[in-house]
Amino acid sequence: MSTETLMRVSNLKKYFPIRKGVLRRVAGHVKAVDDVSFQIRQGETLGMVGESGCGKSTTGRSIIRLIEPTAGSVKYRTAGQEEEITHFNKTQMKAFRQRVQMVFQDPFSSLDPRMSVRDTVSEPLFVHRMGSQKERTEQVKELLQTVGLSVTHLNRFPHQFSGGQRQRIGIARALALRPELIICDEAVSALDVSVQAQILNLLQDLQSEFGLTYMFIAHDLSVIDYISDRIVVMYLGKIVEVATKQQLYDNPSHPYTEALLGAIPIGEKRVGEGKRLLLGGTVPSPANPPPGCTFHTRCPYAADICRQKEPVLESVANSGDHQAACHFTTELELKSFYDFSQVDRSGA
Amino acid sequence: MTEPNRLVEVNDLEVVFDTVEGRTHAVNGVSFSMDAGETVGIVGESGCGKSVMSLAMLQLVPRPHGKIARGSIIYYQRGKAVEITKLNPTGKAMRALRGNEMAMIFQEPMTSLNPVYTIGEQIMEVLRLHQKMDNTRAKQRAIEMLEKVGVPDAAQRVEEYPHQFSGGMRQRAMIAMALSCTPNLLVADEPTTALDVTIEAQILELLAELQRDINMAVLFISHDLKVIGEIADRVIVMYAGWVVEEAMREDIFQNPQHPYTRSLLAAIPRIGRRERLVSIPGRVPSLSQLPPGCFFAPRCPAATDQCRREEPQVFTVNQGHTVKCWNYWDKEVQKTS
Ligand SMILES: Nc1ncnc2c1ncn2[C@@H]1O[C@H](COP(=O)(O)OP(=O)(O)OP(=O)(O)O)[C@@H](O)[C@H]1O
Ligand SMILES: Nc1ncnc2c1ncn2[C@@H]1O[C@H](COP(=O)(O)OP(=O)(O)O)[C@@H](O)[C@H]1O
Ligand code: SF4
Ligand code: SF4
Ligand SMILES: [Mg+2]
Ligand SMILES: [Mg+2]
Repeated sequence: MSTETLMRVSNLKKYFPIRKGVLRRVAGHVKAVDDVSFQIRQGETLGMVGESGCGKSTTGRSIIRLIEPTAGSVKYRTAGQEEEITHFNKTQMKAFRQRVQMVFQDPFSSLDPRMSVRDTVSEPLFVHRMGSQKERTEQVKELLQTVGLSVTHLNRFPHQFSGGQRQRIGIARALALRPELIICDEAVSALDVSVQAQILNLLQDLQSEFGLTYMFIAHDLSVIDYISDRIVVMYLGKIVEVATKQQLYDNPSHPYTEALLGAIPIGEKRVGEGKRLLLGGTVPSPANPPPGCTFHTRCPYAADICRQKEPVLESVANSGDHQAACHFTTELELKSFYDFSQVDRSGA
Repeated sequence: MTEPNRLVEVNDLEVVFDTVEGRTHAVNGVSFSMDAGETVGIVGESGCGKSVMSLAMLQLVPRPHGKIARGSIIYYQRGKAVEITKLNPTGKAMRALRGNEMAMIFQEPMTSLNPVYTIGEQIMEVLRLHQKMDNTRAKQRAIEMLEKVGVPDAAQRVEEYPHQFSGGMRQRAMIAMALSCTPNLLVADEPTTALDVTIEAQILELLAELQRDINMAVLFISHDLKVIGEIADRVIVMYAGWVVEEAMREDIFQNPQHPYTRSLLAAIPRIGRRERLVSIPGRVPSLSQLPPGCFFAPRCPAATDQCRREEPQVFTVNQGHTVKCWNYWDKEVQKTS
């Protein structure tokens, strides 16, 4: 994995208008993504975690302009040059779409039920006018083999497949244009563990075979740990921590990350210091986020300054790789995942 | 001879659905028991019969297609055995049991909350019906219950409708409703699957706490072994309508014997571990077209000809630990005999 930046996201915002009344006047905004900046490096898997509604999917969609960002810059490196994709015209966008693909959560609704596997997987090839029909069918067969499906399934329809197989079809379709970057939005969240393991292994194999870069969105911290090199933690439309996998689980630097680590089920009875950390309350509405640090309503360490001043995302202990947005990052001694997973093996 | 502490016994239970595609064997000869105050976890992949099993516990198998075809469920009501599989599912006796002795919570709270009544009205309804409380008492108790499950401003929120509650809050409201009659048995079908980890942790803690308070037994269904491991005393692993392994929690995690249990454990990503995940090839068979012999044989790395021919017997590993697998017999039992 290189440290070269493939995508550079700066000050990205996506606000959804809230409309009220018969005139549908804009009464406010849902700040789904509120000023986030991060980079995706060539060849890495960047994990993104956070509770539902914190803006993960909106971030994923905005950076490839499946939805238009409200503000901010997204630069993508092509042939050594960084290009601003938010300024791309139609033709440029079409070329960009060949390089970046998305795989979605729900293998049931993300595929068109009336399209056969052949049509589903070859559609992107058709849209980008790649090859003759015969060549396209050959490519589809190859893609199906790559993702572990049988070519005899070519003329079947989505309802004839299991959840895991449908997810493979979605991945085959995403691979059709030989992309560089794939954004996986909860791609394994709806699957049983056994099938989830198949898809995670497949994604890793494809990465080493084709040198792919992934942005992997998930809410399951065990899955994120397994697949990611670096991890971005989001809370209420903002990034609260960015770290390598090792740093995040061994040395979390934001109280929200600590709370997430403390809530992971570990499958064993905990003892003493290993007790689960319980966070009170729920995520506030992104239409009306709390002032100051948006986490202060649930943070066990909140002080006066937290209610007034918004913390900025800054490097932790002079490490450019590890950033957190908390006024007390240097003072707090947060627990690691290993502190939380001390278990009782005595059999009692 | 029954144990003095025994609360429920399920004996050789079979639940089937008759549809146009033929007969689905959702639960296929399941036996297990539960003691008062105990938490038993049921784990297995999607479509293994977990939800149907939990519905059967309260005689809630959807009719007319579904029915209990064989076997029995015995519930010990203050020591007296009641064969609930003999009761009319919609009759008075069964309804009384459901209100006073057993309760159920579902994965999707909206299936048991009615959108047109306030949360308070719905809890009060249960209390009026089963505990014969008057309105004032019932309302007071409803507020108490909501407070107990951690709904903030309960006195106000008791007047709100389900859609005004967040997912986690609805789950709490449903738990409050289910527990308002202090049941002896709670059947919880994936109660946290739809929730975020921080909320899941809150709900698991809440269940454990309430359970200590009222000495309630919980049958906790989940597809997530790690969640089961947080809460269960004993674990039942289901595959294609069978119980394939049953053991105390520690034994399931430290000493699993069934190839399916082992595969499930190896498929879970665990923090800090880097080895490649082990995936189980194929998928759960259609419960209307079950293979002969062992239902797991088409996916099992240890399958032999015998497995493909004969249904495996249940073998005892040690006290309280059983496994339905020929391989265990080959390895352990045959060796010593
Ligand atoms: N009302 C019904 N009519 C017909 N078949 C049904 C009905 N309900 C369930 N089944 C069938 O019974 C079998 C077991 O289903 P069940 O819902 O118990 O699975 P489960 O283990 O709870 O799965 P999941 O983890 O997906 O919730 C499946 O084959 C299912 O299709
Ligand atoms: N099309 C939309 N219109 C209005 N609000 C939206 C839309 N899409 C997402 N949101 C809101 O934006 C916030 C972030 O959503 P999302 O990005 O889907 O979160 P996540 O993927 O982290 O669960 C939520 O409050 C959600 O309700
Ligand atoms: S800034 Fe304050 S409220 Fe926010 S995470 Fe840090 S300590 Fe908690
Ligand atoms: S009986 Fe045979 S096929 Fe079935 S689980 Fe055991 S070894 Fe595998
Ligand atoms: Mg999402
Ligand atoms: Mg179910």
